[in-house]
Parts: sequence; C-alpha cells; structure tokens
Amino acid sequence: MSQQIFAAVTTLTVVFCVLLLAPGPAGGQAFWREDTPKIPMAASWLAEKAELPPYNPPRTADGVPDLQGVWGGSGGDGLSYLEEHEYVDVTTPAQESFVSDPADGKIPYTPWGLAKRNEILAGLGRGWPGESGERLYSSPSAFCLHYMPRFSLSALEIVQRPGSVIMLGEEGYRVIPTDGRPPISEEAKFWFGNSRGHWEGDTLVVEVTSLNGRGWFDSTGHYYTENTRMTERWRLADENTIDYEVTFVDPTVYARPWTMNFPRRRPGTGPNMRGGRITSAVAANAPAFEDPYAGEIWEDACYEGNREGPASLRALGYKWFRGVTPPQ
Amino acid sequence: MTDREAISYDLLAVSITGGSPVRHWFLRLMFGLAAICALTPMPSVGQTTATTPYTPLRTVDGHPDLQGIWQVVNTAAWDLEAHPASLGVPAGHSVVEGGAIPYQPSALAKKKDNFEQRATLDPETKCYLPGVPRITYMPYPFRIIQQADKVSIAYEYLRAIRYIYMNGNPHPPGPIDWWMGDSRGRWEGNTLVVDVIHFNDQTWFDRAGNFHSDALHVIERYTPTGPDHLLYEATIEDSNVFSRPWKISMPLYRRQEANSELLEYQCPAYLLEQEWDNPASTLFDEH
Amino acid sequence: MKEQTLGLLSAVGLLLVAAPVAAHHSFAAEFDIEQPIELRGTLTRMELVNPHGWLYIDVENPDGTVTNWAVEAGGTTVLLRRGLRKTDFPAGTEVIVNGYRARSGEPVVNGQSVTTPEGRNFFLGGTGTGGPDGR
Repeated sequence: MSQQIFAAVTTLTVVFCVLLLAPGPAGGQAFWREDTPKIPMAASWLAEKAELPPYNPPRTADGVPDLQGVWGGSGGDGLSYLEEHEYVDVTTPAQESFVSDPADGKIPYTPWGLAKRNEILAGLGRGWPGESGERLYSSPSAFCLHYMPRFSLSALEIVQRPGSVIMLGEEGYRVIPTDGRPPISEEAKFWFGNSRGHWEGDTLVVEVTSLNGRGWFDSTGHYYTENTRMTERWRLADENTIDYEVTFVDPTVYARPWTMNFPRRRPGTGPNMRGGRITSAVAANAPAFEDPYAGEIWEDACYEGNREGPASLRALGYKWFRGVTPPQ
Repeated sequence: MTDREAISYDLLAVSITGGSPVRHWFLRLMFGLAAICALTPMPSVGQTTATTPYTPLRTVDGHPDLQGIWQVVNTAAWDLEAHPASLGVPAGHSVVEGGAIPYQPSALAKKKDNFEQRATLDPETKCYLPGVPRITYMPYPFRIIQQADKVSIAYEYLRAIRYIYMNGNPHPPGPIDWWMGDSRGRWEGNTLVVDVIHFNDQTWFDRAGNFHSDALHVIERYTPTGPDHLLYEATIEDSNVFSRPWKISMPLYRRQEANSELLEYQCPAYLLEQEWDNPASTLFDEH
Repeated sequence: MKEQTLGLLSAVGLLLVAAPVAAHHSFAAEFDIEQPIELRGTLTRMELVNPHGWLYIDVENPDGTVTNWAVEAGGTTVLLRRGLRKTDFPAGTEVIVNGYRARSGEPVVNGQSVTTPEGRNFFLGGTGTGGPDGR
C-alpha cells in the first residue's frame, strides 16, 4: 500500500476506537460534574445546519451518495435522558432535547401514553425527585441487550454495497436492503425491527417496521410499542457531517408524529465534549498514548461479562420490561 | 479430440470447401484449432471444470469476492463426530478429518463428563458467544463483507460480528481471554486464511461437549469452489487438550432466496425474560 | 503524512474524553451515591471483562474476620489497549478502593478510584512497567 494511502487509512481510523470506547474518560460508567455546560443537541444542531451551504456529496460507483466511513454517534450523555433537562445526578448532566418536533422538545404522548411514561419514570429507583419508591423497570440496555433505535444513535461504520447499506458497530450491525424488496410481515417482530432503504435525492430514507416495542429510547423509560414505525433520513450535510433525522409514528401512544435530529461527525472533526467528567476507577487523567490498534474494534462481550448487574437488579425487585400494551 | 468432435470437424471442412475434403495442411490446422476451441469447454470466470479450480469474481480491491449470505447444511452444531439420532438430534457423519477428535486421555474423560451434563454445562444454553469455529456451523445464516482493511462476518446468531483485520497489525500480545478470539486474515491464492488466538476456555465446539482450553489456536480457510459454494476448513490446535492438531471441513452454501436476509436471534433477551420470574432459576447465581 | 498521523495520535488522549457511547447500566439503580466507602484489602481475583472489570479483595473486618468484596471497575478494553494484562495484577496485591456501596447491602462497591498503598493508580500503574510496551 502506498505511503499516502496508508496514512490516509490510519488517519481515518486512528480514533475510531475512541468513539466506540465504553463511556467515560477511560472506560466504564461516565460520571459527570455538576458544572458541566449544557450539552447541545437538536436545537443547536438545527441552528448550525441552517447556516450550512448546499452540499453536493461524492457518489459511489452505483451513482448514489457515498456515506461510507466511520461516524460518531449522538454523543452527549450517552442516552441517559432524551428530553431537555438540567443536571440530575452523576450519570445525567444537563442537555438539550433530542426532540426537534414538537418545538417544546417533548415526546407528544397521548394522555394514556404519558401516564405510562410517568409510571415508568417514577419506578426507576434511582433516587430521582418524584419517584414512587417502588422499583419497576431498568433500561433493557442494562442487560446488554441491543435494539433500534438505540443502535442508530451509536458510533458506527457505514459500508455500501450494491443493494445494501451496512452499518457496523461495536457490538452488532445492521443491514438495510436498498433493492426495493418488501419488508417482512408485521407478524414477525424484532428488537432491531426490519429495515428497508431507498434514496430520495441525496437522502437515504430508511423505513423501520416490525419493532417489538421492548427497547427504550434512553435510560429513563421513554418507550415505543410494537405499533411504532420509524423513518430515518441520512444525508451528508458536509464532507465530515451526516445530518441524521428520525421520525416516529404510533397513534396508539403518540398524539402525533415526532422527530429527533442530531449530527454525526467523522472522527477528529466537529465539536467534541471536553471536560465535565469526574474520575472513574480507570483513571481520568491518563496520558495519551500511541495505540497501533486504534482503528480496530475489540471484543465487548457485554452480556457474557455482565454477571453481577442483572442479579443485583433482580434481587432488588425490579420487574422484566415486556413492552406496553395500549388500550384498543 | 473425441469421435464426435472428429466427425464435426470433417463436416465443417466439407461444408466450407464445397464438398471436397480439405487437403491443404494449413486449412486442416485452422479447422482443427477452431474445432478444438469450439468444442472444448474453457473455464471462464465463474465456472469450474473437473480439473481446474474455480476462479471467483473479484472485489474492487482485486481480491476474491466471498461476499454474500452463507449457511452450513449439516449436523456439526450437534456433534462434530459421527453420531446417531436421538430425540431432537439428527444423525450425522463426522466433519473431522480422520473421524475422531484426538483427545489426550484425561481430556477425553472430561469430554465424556461434558456430554453427560450437556443440558446444563453447554455454554450455548446460557446464550453465550459460541466461539470459533462453532459460530460458523450454528444453524443460522451469516454474511461476509469485504473491505480494504478487514473482512467482517455478520452472524444472525446473537447478532454477533467478527472483524478479521487485514491491516498489517499482528495479533496483540497476550494473555487475552476473548470468547471469539482475535482474528487476523490474509489471502493465499483464492483462499481467505484466518488465524485466531486469544480465546478463553469457556466455549464448546458443539452440543456434545467437545471443548478446549485457553491455549486454543484456530486456522480457518474459506475457499470459493463455485459461484454459490465455499469450502470451509478449520484446523484446531490445543496442546493442553489434544494430542495433535486436527481439522474439520464442510461446504458453505449461498442462500438462494430472493428475500434472503439476516434476521435476528437475540438469545439473551429470551433467556433473561424466561428466567427472571422463575424463583428456582440458577442463571443469576453469583460465580 | 507521518507528522499528521502522529499529531492525530496524540489527540487520542483529548478525544478519550469525547462524547461517550451509550451507558450500559443504571449506576444509580444499583449503587447509592449517598453511601461512599473506602476499603483497604488484598486482591484475590481480577476479571478483565466488559461492561465492567471486577476486582475481588479480601478486607479485614474490625472483629478480625475477613469479607471478600467485589469492586466494579471500568470497561476492560481500554486497559487491554494500553497493554495491561491479567498477569499484571497478581493475587496478594494491596489496594485501596474508594467508591459507592451497592443498594442491596451486599459487599459490592462501584469503584471510583483504586490505588496502591503508594498512591499510584492501580490500573495504570499495575505491576508491569505501565507503558504501552510494558507487559
């Protein structure tokens, strides 16, 4: 391989690992200081996006926009809490809402849906204000389960092949056929749903159906159901930024469709969160080091190693979340 | 040239010369060559003859293209060695070269113990990652994706993903205990050769209790043998358990259905849900 | 090209504090930030796994009995990338743990800092040389 290509590959992948490391300065649970500035999300991104000039993306040999490469995730508080909030505790720093529509940044639940959401929130057992004191559910991600839409909010590598867009992640992947085939029957439900993509101009539009309604958006129990349909839009806003937008439709629990927006950046580009963190048991202030394996994803095996957590939550009396069943 | 070809040659010669047999040596030579070329099947890209190996299509990087959705069709998942049928278990021939796995005597005793207690000891029953090569012959499809710096194999089973790096990096130094090991790949002709080390000792090779230690070393070979077939071979070395290296081999079949895709098998979710409300569950016992 | 590469490599440290991936678990559901604790003991076992590594330490109680505590640490992969291995942490090593107790009341702690008696970070100090090439 030529020196130039080698350096380019190294440059592109050299900080790949960073985006996919477990949260925190050097792995493990991220602990945030109270004085952390409010983390920007949908509103700030849409303001930034409005100022961007039109962008004509490079294209693959098939003539579709080339979205390939390594992309950061939504960043922020690690999907602790989806709606706008101030500092709550060490795992939940202040952050703007992921929700851009409705304008108040709140998921537009129906009255029944909101009551259900509040019931889950009051039963988290985290010592948050307003809790009932009863332990209801913990986030399915605490059990190392993986699902949509959460997977789409993580760092990943996009690979395009004729008829498919493939998204490779740290623990898992997603394959989106773009060859026009119909989705699987809605009778078959999945944690990742069933994805079908097509191009509209420069935007990859992905319809996700067959969700099983078992996953949470965040750690506070914002939920969807097996009636929910997602529409994602992936578009290059500039050479280093993907404009990611996703809309959720579910008349059984949402009064109207609602939308999330955030940017995804190539590693080493765009604003990054700095500071605000407390140390964790694997040092915060570790000096930088040259990692020849920086571009590689190494085994996570989260479920296999997650022995004490589920046992502890079960002993504390938490119930297993089986999704919500809206009234007919 | 066969008799049939010789007759065709003569007929061709007669038709061109308007009835008179061709006598001029040059025309005979030309007709002969033309007949040979027309009548001998030539291997072209994507075809096989009995004697020449298959020449696969190539990726844009110039490497053999092994991409697509593949699956095994055999009983290796139940038992690598020859075995009879029993309730829920189909009979099968051995996929092990030579038939039997060459255990050291004390290891063979442990294998038999494993077999007796497989209902509780098999790590598959806890939905753990199955290791290599077992993940290849689990009865679920997988997809090979090739890029410049790596080959990725995406498995429907557990939504597992293996990254086989081909970026010039050697294995990182050990000891490292990974369920799926550390995979480094290279090309030998049309074969993708994958060297895998850094395993823990927690996985089995099948549901029959065949096992290994953390010294396991696996060398996989993926070789295209036709447009819809790969030959999968895996050499297994573990001086703590076996008296010599041994090898398995099996075809991989390209899934033919137009709607073929990887769905999902999120085993931990199903198991945790089942066991959560079971007061007698042992799944959550502290180790 | 090489300078550019090295420049980006040295930025890895800065980016290590960049936006994290989604948190795996509910710290606050399992551990109580109102119950900080310090433990001194000797290492009996260490598990370099994800999503959290675990240290097991024997701690002597005031009455002379010994309790084995489980200390939840950070994810293991970052340690592996730095060249640390399970052999760098032999049984018998003395450690000081500061962290938060589990809500269940079991002898389980979410470790915030783990140091040697000399004050070095247990993970990055280790018993090897600690550098990227130290094994």
